[in-house]
Order: sequence, then C-alpha cells, then structure tokens
Amino acid sequence: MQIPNLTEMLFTGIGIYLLKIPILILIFIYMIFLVIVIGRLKAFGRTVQVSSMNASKVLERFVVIQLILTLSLFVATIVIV
Amino acid sequence: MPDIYTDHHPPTEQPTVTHAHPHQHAIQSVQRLMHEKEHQVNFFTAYRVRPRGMHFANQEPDEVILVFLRHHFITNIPWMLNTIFFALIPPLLFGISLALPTPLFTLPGGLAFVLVAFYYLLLSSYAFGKFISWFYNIGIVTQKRMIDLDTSNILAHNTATANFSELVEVKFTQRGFFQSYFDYGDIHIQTEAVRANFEFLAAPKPSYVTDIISDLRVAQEGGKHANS
Repeated sequence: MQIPNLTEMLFTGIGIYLLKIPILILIFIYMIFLVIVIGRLKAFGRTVQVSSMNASKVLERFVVIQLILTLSLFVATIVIV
Repeated sequence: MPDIYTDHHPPTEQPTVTHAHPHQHAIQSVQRLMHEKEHQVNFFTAYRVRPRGMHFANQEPDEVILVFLRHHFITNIPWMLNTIFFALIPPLLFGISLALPTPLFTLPGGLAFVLVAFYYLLLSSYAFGKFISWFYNIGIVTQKRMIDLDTSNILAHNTATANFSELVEVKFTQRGFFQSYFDYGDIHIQTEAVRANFEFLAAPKPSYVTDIISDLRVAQEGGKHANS
C-alpha cells in the first residue's frame, strides 16, 4: 500500500481549496481593517492638523496604496493559486 | 570721654534689594515665547517651540501653540528593528531551503508568492500602526491650556485637556543612559481635576518644557492677581 504524500495531497486537488479559502478570508478581513484605518486617520486629521503639508492626507494615501495592493493580492490568489 | 576709636571711613551704602514681582519673570518669559519666531514642523519632529502650520480641534482664535511634543524619535527604534528582523525571515528561509540538499517543505510557486506577499503586507501594517501610534501621540501646550492626545493603537485614541489653573505640580523624570544621552524624559503634571495626572511621556527637553509649563502657570496666577 502506497503511503500518501501529504505535501502532494495538501497542494493539489481539493487540498489547494482548503488553503485558498482561508487565505482569501484573511485577505478580505485585512482589507476591511485597512478601510477602518483610513477612517481613523481622517478622525486623527480632524483632531489635530500636524504641519502645513497635511500629514494625515499623506498617511491616508499610503493606506489607500496598501488597500490597492491587498485587492490585487486578493485577485491574484483567486487566479494563481 | 575721649574717643578711643573713630572710623574715618564714611559708611558705605548698603545695596538695596529690590523684590521683583514674583510673577513678572514668568509673564515676561511667556510673552517672549509668544513673540518668538515660528518654526516649521516636519514628519519626524518630536519637539518644537512655536510650531508653524499646526492646528487642533477647538483651538480658540487667539490661542497660540507654544510647544509641540511627541515621544522622542529614539523610542521608535525597537519596532523598527523588529520590522527589519521579520522582513529578513522569508529571504533567510528561502536561502536555507536552497542550501539544503533536499528541501524540507515545497510549496507551489503561486501559493508561495501569495503567502509571502501577504506576510509583507501584514508586516508593513504592523510598522505603519506603530508609526501612527507615535505620530498621533501628541502633547500641545498653548498659553491657555495643555492638551494630551494619546494614541495607544491605530483604533483607539483619547484626548485630555487641562487648564493651568488646575495645575498643582509639574515635574519630570529622566532615568537611564538613553534618556540622559538623548535628553528626553517623562513630564508628570498633577492637576486638581478628576484625572489626577497628566503626562507627556518620553518628551524631548523635559527640563525646558517643565520650565515653560511652570512659567505659564505662574503667569496665569499673576494675571488673576492683577485683575482682582
């Protein structure tokens, strides 16, 4: 009787979906977290405006870029994995 | 009776001691500060006297920000080092797996890419969260009050305000090599309010900031006495 190769089982066939779905869920939760962070940064910006270069806008842009990257990763996970 | 001894030297005039008004020095110090030139605040500024381009919610029209404080930048070093360490783990594991004659664990290429990318996104999120906790952890001193904006994490913050009339005591502590060398410390302000203590932790130049706060308190008391 052939001993099943666990690595092969995990990353082929049905196994790949057992990995793919939790990863997609995690990435989705992370995207929601980033949206909340953008809201928090807007609240911080209203509380105190630090320096004339509007620092909160710069930070928000950084989070938006992260959100775009995460969304790309979400799509990549569906397509590649 | 003949004089045994006479002092031919005329009596010297005793210097007169002028008792300046106790509040005058503080008032002059505050006025000097208020008329000082404004200084630019950049992204990584942790201490600025008369910061330019700064505003906060509920700031009154005639309210001037005298001191802007954050934690000293050196307090960011631990999380920066953590980030660098964790960023090096995937390349290290990759290098080790290449070096071994038989790989310990094999992942399909697509899955490996997704996992590593997600790992780095989480890591950047950790670093960003730490930066935001530092960036929006602000202490502001105006000529009317003190404001402490505490950001414990990216999802929670609280703001405390205290007037100088509520101030009972202001002191600072500077402990250890790093605090002494980089000149930062904890400023503790005891107030009469329900929140007994008001703190500016890891503030740069704590002795100078403590002096300013003391002067502002004395100046405000002086103003009250003058008006009464």
